[in-house]
Amino acid sequence: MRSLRYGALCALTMLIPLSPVSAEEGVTKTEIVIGNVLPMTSSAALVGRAAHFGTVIAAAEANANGGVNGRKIIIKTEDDGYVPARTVQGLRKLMDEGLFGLIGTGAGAGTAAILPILEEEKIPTIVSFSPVKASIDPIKPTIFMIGASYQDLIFAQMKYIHDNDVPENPKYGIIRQDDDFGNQLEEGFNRAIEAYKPEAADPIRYKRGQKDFGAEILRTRSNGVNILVAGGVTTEIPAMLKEASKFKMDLRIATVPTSTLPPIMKLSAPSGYHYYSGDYISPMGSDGTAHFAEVAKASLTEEELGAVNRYSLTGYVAGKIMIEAIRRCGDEPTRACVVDKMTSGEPFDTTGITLPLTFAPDRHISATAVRVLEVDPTAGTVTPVTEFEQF
Amino acid sequence: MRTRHFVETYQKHVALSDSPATWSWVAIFIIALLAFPFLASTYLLAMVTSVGIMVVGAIGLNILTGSTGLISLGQAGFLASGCYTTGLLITDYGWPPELALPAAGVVSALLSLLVGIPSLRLKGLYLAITTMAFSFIVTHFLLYAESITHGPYGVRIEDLNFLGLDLADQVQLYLFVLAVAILTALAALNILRTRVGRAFNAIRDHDIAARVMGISLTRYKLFAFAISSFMVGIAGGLMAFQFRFINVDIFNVLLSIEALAVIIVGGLGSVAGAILGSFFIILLPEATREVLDFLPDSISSALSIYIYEIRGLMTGLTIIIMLRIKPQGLVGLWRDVKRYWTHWPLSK
Amino acid sequence: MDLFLNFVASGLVIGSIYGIIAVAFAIVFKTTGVLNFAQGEVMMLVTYTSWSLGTELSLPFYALIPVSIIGAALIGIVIERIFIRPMIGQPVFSIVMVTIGLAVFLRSMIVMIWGPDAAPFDAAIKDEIIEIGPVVLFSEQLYAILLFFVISGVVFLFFRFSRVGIAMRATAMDETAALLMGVDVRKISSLAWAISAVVSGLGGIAFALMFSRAPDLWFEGLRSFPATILGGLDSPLGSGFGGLIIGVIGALSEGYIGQGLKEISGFFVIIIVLMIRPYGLFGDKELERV
Repeated sequence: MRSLRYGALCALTMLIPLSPVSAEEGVTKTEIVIGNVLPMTSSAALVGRAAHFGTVIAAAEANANGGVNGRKIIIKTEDDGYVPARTVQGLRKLMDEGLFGLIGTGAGAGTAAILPILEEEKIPTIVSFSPVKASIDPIKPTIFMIGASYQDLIFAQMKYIHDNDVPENPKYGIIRQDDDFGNQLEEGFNRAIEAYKPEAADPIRYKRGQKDFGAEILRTRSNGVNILVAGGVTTEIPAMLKEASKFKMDLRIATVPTSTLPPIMKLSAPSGYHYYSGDYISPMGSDGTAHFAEVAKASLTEEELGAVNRYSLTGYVAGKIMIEAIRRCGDEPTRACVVDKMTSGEPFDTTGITLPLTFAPDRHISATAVRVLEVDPTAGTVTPVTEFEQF
Repeated sequence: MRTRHFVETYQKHVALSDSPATWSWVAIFIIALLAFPFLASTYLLAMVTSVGIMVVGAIGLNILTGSTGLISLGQAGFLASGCYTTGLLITDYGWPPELALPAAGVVSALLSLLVGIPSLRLKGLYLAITTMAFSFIVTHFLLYAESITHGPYGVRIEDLNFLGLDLADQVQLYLFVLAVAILTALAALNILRTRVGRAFNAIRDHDIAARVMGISLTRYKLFAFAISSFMVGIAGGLMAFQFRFINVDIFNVLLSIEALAVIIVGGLGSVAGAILGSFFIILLPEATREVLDFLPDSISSALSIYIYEIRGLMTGLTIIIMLRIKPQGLVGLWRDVKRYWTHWPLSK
Repeated sequence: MDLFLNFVASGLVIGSIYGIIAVAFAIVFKTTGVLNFAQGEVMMLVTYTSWSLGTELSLPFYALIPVSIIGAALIGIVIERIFIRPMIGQPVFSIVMVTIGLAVFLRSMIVMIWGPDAAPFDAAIKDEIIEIGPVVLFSEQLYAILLFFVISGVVFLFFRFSRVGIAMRATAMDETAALLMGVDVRKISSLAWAISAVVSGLGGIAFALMFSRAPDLWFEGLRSFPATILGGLDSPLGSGFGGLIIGVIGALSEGYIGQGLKEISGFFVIIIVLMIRPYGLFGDKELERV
């Protein structure tokens, strides 16, 4: 029993934080900590893990070249399980252990949940996992964003279909998740409806986690929809396509970038549909991602490479920009300096994944130009059909 | 050495506890909790704040399930209604937090009557699933009644001034939650010692017999629902203070199951059980993380891709093993330890 | 009318999955008094195992099913032996809690072995389009409905006529009396877990054939709770039909009302039904003697 008491005493002393004394949070003589809060478990793990490894690759690349002005970049990732409240907890945990900057900000609602903390604590942040307009509109001094919003991604595809691939008697429809993600899709959809004034069916909402889309597709069919926004997050997209193929519906289909992920393409293949997607970065496997693929191979294990996909690219780009901004700050990086360098207008190279990116004091967002992609899931190919364009 | 518990006077009967040992333990525990913010890191503080909120909710659930025998899988619904009541009243209606927090309890209690009345005839798991159905309906409403609840956009809470406390500050929030938790525990202890509490136990043990003895099942079952949900609603309101951004995603059925897990692991029907269970269930994943952090780098980097699964495995296994050793929950374990100390050195 | 029939068919498809899982819930509950919170996870483990056998060992489908059934029974028996058997005699609540811990454990274990990605479950019997009058179904959807009826039939015959089935009912009715009559009560618990693993596992395979083998498969377990309750917890057959009812009502309410009601309508139905019949549609009314 005595040992128990000692145990309790030890446990108590362990609670006392051992915080390193240093000029800036998350910076020691040898290390700089960059954090992620991402869905590493749950149904979004497919994308969360990929984003995590993207930042790991960026850090490994910098560290292989001797680090940033002699300091090693450390990536720390907390799991939020796709639940906003846990995104807040994860961020607190990271801040506690010493955090310099943040890249992964959880999914849409998670990002919204942590914005006030990020603003208060003045943490340099590059939102890249789930581009939510609220992160940069209105502008928050230390928060930046890479990527077009879902609104733009959907609108770009609607515009392309309207201009180039319009069926006879066009009728627009959308099936979308009943959360903030779905809301953004519907806003993009509504923008197209206002712009082109076509016939449109009432939007259909489904519950997060739903698997079966029989009734939704039947409704879409009876409404005569032939241009459909299949607003699923991951496996919902193939489920919708499969039901639609049962009735041999003639559809033009718009989707979100997850539809270009190999597992999703594999599930979509049997439906026989080609579909559109939109993106603001070069597709995986194209010339633009060659450098990335090389670095990834050099810095990850075989098993970890299996988790890499399109979402690793945005993680990598955000990581690269953050690291470059720190590098530009020289020997004594501070948060204020990093923000300064971000907004200086000097471009950041992204090794071809996007054009070199710039930010400005009045523009904290970059890489917003969208390219429409045509996806052939059977062949596993993703082909750009337009150039990058602003929406 | 005390051999048995003899209560000789009326005063002793109504006292919360007649044992000075218990009192001193409780005092030490509370002093430790008061000193905690000055020792712990902010993250750990946030975790223990979560424990405090869970304690409030778990005590509420324990009154319903542990003491009255009405199983509920709908805690997520009551928590959500409390959380949204506080959040919306502060943000959209400009109520001061001092009023918005009790309002959370009141709204949840009223809602519980709405569930309670049709559920009066239901028993066991039928009741459990009905409450679960209720919680699904509540979250559905919160998501779809966008004009009232902001739907999927969630609610952000700015004003957090509670009687001069700034609840945006982690330490002040912690102390506030601690105070609410202590008040809840005292309230529950008092309710359970009265005629009402004994009526609850009688209903749990045999409802027909209780009725024969003149206990109105309708009244007491509804009363149990209302008291329990009031506390759970308050816990929901505290969650609004803690997260400052609320959205329905967290109020899913897993949260309801977790709440039930807390009181089963802790020990059914006891306030101490609710407290111990909350500490256990919330801190267990953290503990597994700490254990994993001790692994040498080479192993942990090899496991990096599975780290969250390993934590899940350990959490699940710990729960199973603990129940194997002590099926009565942590309170049972606590009693054993206590007996060991009182009888020492004669204990075996 | 065509549309209506298609809605009904669509509801029957998903309803049969709920029904099959609900049957599994009811079998364990009826014989052991435990609500198995890990039923969805057991189903998932069977489905993933069967997927590996089918995809990686490329067993043909006709061989895969019997092998999966045997595998599922083994999984059920092993889980019962390791996790549940030592708890016999303890309060029911503690056993239920063990199943909650088991659920967390299995979920993590499965992702650790098979990874977090979704993958298609391919089989020769898939993807054919079958038209029955105005109703269009994929072959695997039709098979899911048929599977439901086969399982219901077999379960009915088993409990009604087989020696073991009767022994299981006897145990459910009065454990001590059954013990005195020479029934090995421990074996019954093991058997119940085995059967429920097989039943839910087949449901999981049917589900994965229709959609995919994905790490959120366990959630279908929780989704089937309402079906179990609607039908009556102690009535495996009734639970099954509860699933069909909830599936069809879900599809119809989505079809004609919308507003995301598909996943909610089932809950409204059980609240109303339980107000009128507090023991479910087909459950036994509990007679209490004082």
